[in-house]
Amino acid sequence: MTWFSKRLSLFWLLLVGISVLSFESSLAGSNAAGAIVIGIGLLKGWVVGWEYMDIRRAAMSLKILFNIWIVAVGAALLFVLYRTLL
Amino acid sequence: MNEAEEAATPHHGHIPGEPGLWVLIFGDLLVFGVLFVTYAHSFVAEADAMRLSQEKLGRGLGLANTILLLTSSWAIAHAVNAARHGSTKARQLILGAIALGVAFVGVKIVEWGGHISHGDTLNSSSFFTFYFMYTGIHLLHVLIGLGVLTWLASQCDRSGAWTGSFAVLEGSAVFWHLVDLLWVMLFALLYLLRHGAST
Repeated sequence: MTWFSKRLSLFWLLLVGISVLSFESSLAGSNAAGAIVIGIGLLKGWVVGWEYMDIRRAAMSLKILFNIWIVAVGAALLFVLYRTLL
Repeated sequence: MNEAEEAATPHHGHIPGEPGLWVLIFGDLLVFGVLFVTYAHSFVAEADAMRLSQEKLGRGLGLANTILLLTSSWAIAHAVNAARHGSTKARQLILGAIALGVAFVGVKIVEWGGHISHGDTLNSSSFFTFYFMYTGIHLLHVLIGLGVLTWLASQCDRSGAWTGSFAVLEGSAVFWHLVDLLWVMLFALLYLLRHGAST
């Protein structure tokens, strides 16, 4: 098994692990749990893009656009969900 | 990383697949970003009604589908790596990714069937309108992806090695990973985000 294959498998383990973690944490239904669920969802999306779509080795423009999407979606979701607390 | 691996690994600055594909990928991400925020807005505006309907979802099925797509994504990433190294395992890995994708569709059919048989349809509540619309649009992506993966499997030779264009293989894999990326966000928003987040 090459280092690249091992890396893919390690990230698969991480993604499955945090999927189960977010499944459990969401049961609490608190403000913090909601933010954690959004954060973990975005983290998983970022790992899929960065590692599996190979954006980490792609052109800088692709890296920047992808990271902007993650941050913008995260910020918009948290703002819409928690603006009443501001 | 040894020299052989270095030679078989794309350099930094490489664009996976065809550059034009990324216009489609980012267009899709943009549209789904808007859909996610629209859902969050209704989640807050109609909190009680949304919660009541959301509680009917089978969260375990959502988790099962997440693991199926993550594993399918893992398999297709390995298939690209296998093709990069001229390995004969490429077709086997593509077929594995297809089988997991088909299992995702099967779980989705069971899930939809259960809701429809209980009277929860596209028009029964705001939540189920979002649920059926968003998972339906996503399912369309899955079906397109499965068609592409099936075509990829046909491009391997009898030994199982990849014989087609490498850019096409990479681009197809990128699309399949996009399907996975969109699902992990849908899973978080539709299945896991709870009412407490908006109060």
